Amino acid sequence: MSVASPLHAGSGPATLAANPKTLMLQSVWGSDRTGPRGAARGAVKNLLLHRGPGVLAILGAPEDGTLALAELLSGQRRPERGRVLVSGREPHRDAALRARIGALGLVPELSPGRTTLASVALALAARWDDITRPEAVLEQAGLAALDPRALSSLSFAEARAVDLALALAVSDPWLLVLSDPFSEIASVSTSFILERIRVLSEVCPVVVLTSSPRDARRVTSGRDSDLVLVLHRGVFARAGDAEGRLSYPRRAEICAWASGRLRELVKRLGDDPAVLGLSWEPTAMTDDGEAGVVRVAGVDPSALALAIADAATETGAPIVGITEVEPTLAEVRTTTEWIRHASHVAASAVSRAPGPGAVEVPASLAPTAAPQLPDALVTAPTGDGASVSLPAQPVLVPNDPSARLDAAPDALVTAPRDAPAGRDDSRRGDPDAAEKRRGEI
Amino acid sequence: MTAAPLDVAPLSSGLRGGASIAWARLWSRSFGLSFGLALALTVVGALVERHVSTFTAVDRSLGLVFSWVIPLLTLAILSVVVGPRSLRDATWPVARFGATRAGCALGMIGATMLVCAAASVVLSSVAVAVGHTPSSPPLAGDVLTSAWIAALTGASYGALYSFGATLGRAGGGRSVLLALDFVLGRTELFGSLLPRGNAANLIGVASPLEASQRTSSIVLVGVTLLVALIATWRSRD
Repeated sequence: MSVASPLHAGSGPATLAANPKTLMLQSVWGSDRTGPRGAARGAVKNLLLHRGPGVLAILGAPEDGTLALAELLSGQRRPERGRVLVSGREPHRDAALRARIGALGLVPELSPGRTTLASVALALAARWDDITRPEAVLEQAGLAALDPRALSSLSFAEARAVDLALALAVSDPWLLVLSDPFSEIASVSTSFILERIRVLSEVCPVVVLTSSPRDARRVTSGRDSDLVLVLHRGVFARAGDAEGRLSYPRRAEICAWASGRLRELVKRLGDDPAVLGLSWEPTAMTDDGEAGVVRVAGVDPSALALAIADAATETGAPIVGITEVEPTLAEVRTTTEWIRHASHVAASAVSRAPGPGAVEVPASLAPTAAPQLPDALVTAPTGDGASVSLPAQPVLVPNDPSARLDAAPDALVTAPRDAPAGRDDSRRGDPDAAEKRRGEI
Repeated sequence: MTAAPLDVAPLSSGLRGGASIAWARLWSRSFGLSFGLALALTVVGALVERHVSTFTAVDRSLGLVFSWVIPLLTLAILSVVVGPRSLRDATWPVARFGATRAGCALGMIGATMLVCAAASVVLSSVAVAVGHTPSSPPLAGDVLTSAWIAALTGASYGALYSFGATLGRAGGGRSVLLALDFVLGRTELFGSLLPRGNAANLIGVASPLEASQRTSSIVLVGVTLLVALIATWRSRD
């Protein structure tokens, strides 16, 4: 497998694999300047993170601080507090490091030039790159047709595509920061982008900032090194599972297309106890009755899929396709807000006097000790006899020390009010029990 | 973890990149409109001065150009080059690829000063030519003398506003410096440091602190270089 871009002569896989790159955020605060008169649209607060090679998908809106984070990571902006370190170097003050960072912003900022090719050539010259053929950068992304075009004639999506091609063509990359790499990109195939992200993520951290839960999920491939985080109001509020799936304790939605007998299918689904919500939309009339799409909502996506399968079998409705509906960013934010609220409720319930009854909280949000940087690092062989220490898991510290938000709230537990101490072992001086609790989570 | 060594791009790539940014942005309608407006003001001003009185019409025309037109045009030029952000941020299209910000900033400042100087020379020459009357000194001599003064003054304003563009989140310091130059430029103390006072001395209007024209020239060159270097330093990585 080729790790480096075929454009470069001196950065083969062995070279890159021997020197894994890391990204570290040390209590980083910062804001962007994308608003009117340089005002901030969003800000990040006290972010902590340590990642090695792999894909880190960050889901959020510019108002949550995704633009600010992209600017901090690419070196465009210096943090107001804390430090951003890429393999020990700060991008905002290190020009040589920026040459090894591939960055795609929401708004393209190409180097000046009369033509697209001249712009790319200037960028490569500034990068002090070993690419001898600037046109190869555009060729490999399928953008060769843009070579002779005047830079001023490029559309927004074409300019972003050129920007993306430059980001994905960095030789010996140390970090990739891509903002919404699948939206408003002209002519670059999704498979090419995904393949380059996958290949480059084996040698350096690849940070994909997106407002699309679907994109966040598809850039992560289920490897241990991949992770989805929700950036909400400037803090890392939630994490997805290994496959980038964000849990929704009270919601799942399945969409199915039927090419006939839609009404019978809907009627049968309405009787299924797993289905809590139902909507359908006829699209055509066939010999086999109405065809169309049906959406079912419930708690468990597997149960919903089974319900559709059972209903289709019983009614004989031909199902053309079935898929789980991805949540929108608004739904992600709403759920995240709910989780934050639940964590506060849980924290206050534990701290108050015990009483009868119970309070329902997500298991992963049960208050434990104030989070600390993990001491445990794993040692990874680098292939040349040396080794490098990397954290086994990302380090995430929420702003609210009473809540622990660095795991998916994928299960709800009932915390009896009369036994709060069980959720707060470390406060009672029992760190082992607290550690065990973390392990369970 | 120790940082691994990396090759640093040479300063020349930053200089070239910064100058490219400036040229690309100046090749725009905004610059054309600004320069056209400045030229029209100069011509109209010189015609009015000649109409009012043929006596010292050239001097009064130059006074208008150096007092109003050049300061405003050079600010417009700097604003076209830098845009509505700070000088450091304006270097990003090239600095993001590994060029040093200081190199890019120096390239942008140099290109800006060059364009400001050239535009000022054109304006002063036009003012002299239009305001020239039979009672005026020889045209060629006036044009040459006013040209080098205009070049120095234009470059000085370009450097000063570049420094102003390093102040504030969106580089709003440039407007503050324009206001300071208008308000304090004719005073004795600050006039001896700001472009307005020294330019007035060089064209023979007023002399801050009774300084000679030679002294004003040296001060103007020194201040220009100093603020350009400070602007570069403030825009560094």
